[in-house]
Amino acid sequence: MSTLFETLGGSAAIDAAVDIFYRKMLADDRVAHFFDDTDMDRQIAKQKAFLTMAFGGPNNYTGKDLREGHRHLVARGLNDTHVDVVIEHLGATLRELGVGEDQIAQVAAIANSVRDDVLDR
Amino acid sequence: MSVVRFQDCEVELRPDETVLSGLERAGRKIPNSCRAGVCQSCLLQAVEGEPPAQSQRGLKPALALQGYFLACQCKPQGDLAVALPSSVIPSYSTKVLERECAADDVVVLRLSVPSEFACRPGQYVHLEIDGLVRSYSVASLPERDGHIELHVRRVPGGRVSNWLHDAAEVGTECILRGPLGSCFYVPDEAREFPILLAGTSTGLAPLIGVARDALAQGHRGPLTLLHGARERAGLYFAEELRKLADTYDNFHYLQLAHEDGEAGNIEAALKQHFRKHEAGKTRVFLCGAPDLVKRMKTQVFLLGAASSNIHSDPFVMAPPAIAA
Repeated sequence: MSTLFETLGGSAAIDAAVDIFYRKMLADDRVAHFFDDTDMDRQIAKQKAFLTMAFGGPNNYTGKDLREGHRHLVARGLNDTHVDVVIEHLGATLRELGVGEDQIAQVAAIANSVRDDVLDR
Repeated sequence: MSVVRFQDCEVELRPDETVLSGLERAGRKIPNSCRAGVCQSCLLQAVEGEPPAQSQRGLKPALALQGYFLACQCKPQGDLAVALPSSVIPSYSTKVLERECAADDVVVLRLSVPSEFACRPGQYVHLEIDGLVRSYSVASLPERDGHIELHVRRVPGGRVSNWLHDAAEVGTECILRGPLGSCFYVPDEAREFPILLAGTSTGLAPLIGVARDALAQGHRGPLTLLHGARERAGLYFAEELRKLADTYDNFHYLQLAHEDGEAGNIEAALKQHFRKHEAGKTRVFLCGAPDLVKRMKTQVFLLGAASSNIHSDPFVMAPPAIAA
């Protein structure tokens, strides 16, 4: 079975999605402050890696990476509501790109599966 | 079979093996993460040989032109010699041909172009003086103009900038290394995309370099240069820039002095720009104080510029000398 990553067109789909997704995150006061100190180029690269994983594409994400990568944000108050915002914007991004609701639900399920790692619990 | 050379090792790649896997098999550590051509953390530079197009997908064109490629996507047809980014910085000796006091705190130096030296305006070079190294952006087209133009702002307590202001004379020799950076003009077929250049103080140097280069290459789209400074007196090169605007209908120059209040607000000017020009097609070049560059980057991105079209060169200051 082909993954959504392949169905959407591989890394070209990631390139199309990443700006839409990251712009939504930066424009949202509920989560924008987590990006205050980050370098945009580095952040875009990280978001691409995240989207690749969420789309079921090839990735090397491990639970340990996700825990360590977000621990400083958990200390700054990152919690379930913020993960919900990410999943919300992920869905809206895919809708803008014309992806069907079934596949959006698949992506949300993948993103949800790493929730505990991201929140370090 | 392709042979890959890296530092002191040579690896013969196996069929279908990537440069990344081959080098790892040889015990070399190459930074990497996604291994899917997405995160770009395994960026290497080909110093000999051509990396395949597949391994340059998604890179900014300025990087691809310089032979950068993604090791995890690279299955070369022929042999390659590769290096980690920025580990290949050739060094040259140069001398001061001309110096011009452009503002109270800015001196413009024009250096001789060493043979074999080539760079794109907007890239930067290291100047080495008494073992101290500082980076300056190239504002001229060295091949056309016959000199390398650098803009040096006097940094209070700065050892190199003060030396360049006070001690460097016509004929003074120094060591130059480079070029580095990917902040430069890359034309496409039509050359009609809008270009937005924004920076403060000597952040003007790479911006004027990009503008001169684009105009020399016949760019037809609108170029807008926003130059900001704390005070009007800091807006050096105004005459030269006005002349450029008179010569080229598509070149627009705006002065933004902080002392002018709202009229000098660079962020308001950025917003204004995107009311006139389509953000999604605009290539943006930003340069100057790191905090401001970061804010402008986020701002133009939120205004609709594509992340892949935003080029920036924050000036990072060396720590000041400790006063004796």
